[in-house]
Amino acid sequence: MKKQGYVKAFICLSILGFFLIGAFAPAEAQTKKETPAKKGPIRIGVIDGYSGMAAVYCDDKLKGCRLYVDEVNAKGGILGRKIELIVRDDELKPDMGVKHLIDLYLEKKVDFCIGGVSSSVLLANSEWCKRNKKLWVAWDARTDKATGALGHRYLVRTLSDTDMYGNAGAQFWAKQKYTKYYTISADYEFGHATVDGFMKYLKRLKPDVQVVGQQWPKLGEIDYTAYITPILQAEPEVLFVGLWGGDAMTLIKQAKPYGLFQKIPQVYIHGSGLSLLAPTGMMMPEGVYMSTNYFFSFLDTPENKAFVQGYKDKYGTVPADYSYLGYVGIKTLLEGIKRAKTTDQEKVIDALEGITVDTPGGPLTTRKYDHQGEMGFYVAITKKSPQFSGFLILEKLDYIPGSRCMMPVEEVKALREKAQEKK
Amino acid sequence: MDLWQIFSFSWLPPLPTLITQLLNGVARAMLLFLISSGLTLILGVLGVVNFAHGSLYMLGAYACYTIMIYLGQDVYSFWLALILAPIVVAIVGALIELFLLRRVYEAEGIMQLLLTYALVLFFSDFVRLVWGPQYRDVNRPEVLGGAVFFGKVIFPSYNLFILILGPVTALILWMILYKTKFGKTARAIAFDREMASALGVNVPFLYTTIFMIGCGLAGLGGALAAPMGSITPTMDISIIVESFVVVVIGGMGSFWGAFLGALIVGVAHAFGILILPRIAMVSIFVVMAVVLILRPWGLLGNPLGPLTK
Repeated sequence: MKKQGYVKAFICLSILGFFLIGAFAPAEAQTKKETPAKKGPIRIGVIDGYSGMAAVYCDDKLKGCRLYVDEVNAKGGILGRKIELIVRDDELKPDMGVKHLIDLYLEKKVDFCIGGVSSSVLLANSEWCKRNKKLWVAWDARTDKATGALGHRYLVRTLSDTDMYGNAGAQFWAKQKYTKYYTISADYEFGHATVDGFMKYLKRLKPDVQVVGQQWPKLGEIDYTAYITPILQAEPEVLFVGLWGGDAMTLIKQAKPYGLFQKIPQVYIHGSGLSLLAPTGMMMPEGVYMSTNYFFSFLDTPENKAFVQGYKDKYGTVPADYSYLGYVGIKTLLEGIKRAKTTDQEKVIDALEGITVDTPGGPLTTRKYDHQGEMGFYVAITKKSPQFSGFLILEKLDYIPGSRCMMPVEEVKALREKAQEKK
Repeated sequence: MDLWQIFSFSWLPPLPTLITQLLNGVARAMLLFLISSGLTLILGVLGVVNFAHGSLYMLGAYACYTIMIYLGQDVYSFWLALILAPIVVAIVGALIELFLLRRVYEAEGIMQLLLTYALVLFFSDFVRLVWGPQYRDVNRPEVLGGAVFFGKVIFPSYNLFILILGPVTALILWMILYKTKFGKTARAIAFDREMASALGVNVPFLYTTIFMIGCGLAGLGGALAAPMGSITPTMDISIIVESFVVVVIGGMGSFWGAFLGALIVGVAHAFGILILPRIAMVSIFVVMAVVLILRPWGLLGNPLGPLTK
């Protein structure tokens, strides 16, 4: 018995020892680093959801981001300094997101932070940044509240929000002749916001539209067969799908034996592009409507061609819509630093207000008042392509530029004032 | 005026829809039953609340995926996967029981909970490490890929397959538990462990075997679920809550309770969606709450404690 006790104690102590070394080593390395050259690299914290449901999208964003950072570093960096990325996982939890923000900004003393995918994490991060006067660049996370009612100086968002792309989608569908709509979307904040954003504008633009039914499966539902029957029975003309990722894929797979895509010719998956098409592969039917901020084959500009080629060379595949979001997010931030000629938070924010950045998807402006990126939106339809045997591609149907689907500044002002009054 | 119209009421959805939805609900119930039966077995005989049950289900799905992808997704690879995946998960279960669970039987119940929860975290990262975060997909075998039609009712063949497999498995399990010496011994242990051990029953061996069977059932559930939808690293979370609801409603440790509980959950969910979509998600929890208030030990459970019945 005694021997067992000693062995156990030894094992416990050595494990404890390893943990202690692990905890103290970075601190030691840090103190050594801080004394020499003042101008080290520009350090940028990237906080995103690398575990959990959105992992694929976040990986795509990071790939796009790294592509741009490598391009910049190859040319000598920004202001003569290289860019260094410190990547953290927020696990889609608001407390984790804020914890990493605190650690990166206050302990590691990074210059800026970028990232985000979950709307609830975004709102938590945004709140912290507002109170601590540090900038958060949101390259994803679509709740319109972040730049709307709860917007402030220390948040910049490069991609379009639920309101904007609901507006854009509605503009396309209002031009069509269909009036009977059925919606299916996950029962949580984003799932509701995405449907509400679309329906609000659709009803405004086309008052004879009727919503004949709505379904709210839980996020991560494994079996949609029970939801398919009521949809078919209601015989809608358009099925609006607010699901994304694995959920959208599961729905498509399970709907096929029911012949859903033949019975309802207009199925519209709102807000997903290649990031959904690629894993769904040949299971995706042709003739499904989709909408996305970016698709690699839609633009023939030299900037886009270079981006697609660069991405292919580095990763072996064409860039997805989320790769674009990562690329554009980091480019906007770095351009802001370049133009401000400093890494001072306040000066960079000033430089970012109203900045226009050249991107593979065209010029992107960040609106001065609410720091919301004027990112446009394509509505497209799926189609097989002889060039790509693993997945379907999109054929462009319509493009709605950001400026045409943004909430007017007066409305945003009014929302913010109302939110302030409540406090 | 056809036959269907005669039987429908104006305020209810039409009869074909009702029948389809009922079938959907029962098929889902059968899948749930397979998984929950393993959970309730482990709970009844070992007295362990196996949080990792959802993770084992997920492992079964990924194992099925790997086997089918390796052997080129045809009918033969599907059947092979259906046999091999549960065996693989059962072996994993054996390893867990032999090297981890055994050490905490003597400790307080909280230790077992912590251990199985730690396993949940472990398997979650493990799956992500081995297969990556992308959602995966396997096809149903061609013969089960279409749908069957009874008049106006459409039902996917694969769901029909699960609908039949469920009761068949239930029957096999029931025969093992009630008609074999092994089953009798297992139930004896569930009833009174000390006495069984005093009478010469090899309790540790049976513990391991029962745990393996429970994990195998979870693995089978996962392997069946793999061609149904997409395979993701968050599959464990989506199934574990519902499995526990089934076990609680049916009665912890009760085999037929798991069957009944699964039927109630599956059908309540299906009809909730049809008739009251906004609260469909809550409906199964409402049922669970009602059962807990009226019969806290579950519908077919034993007021004196978990008992495999």
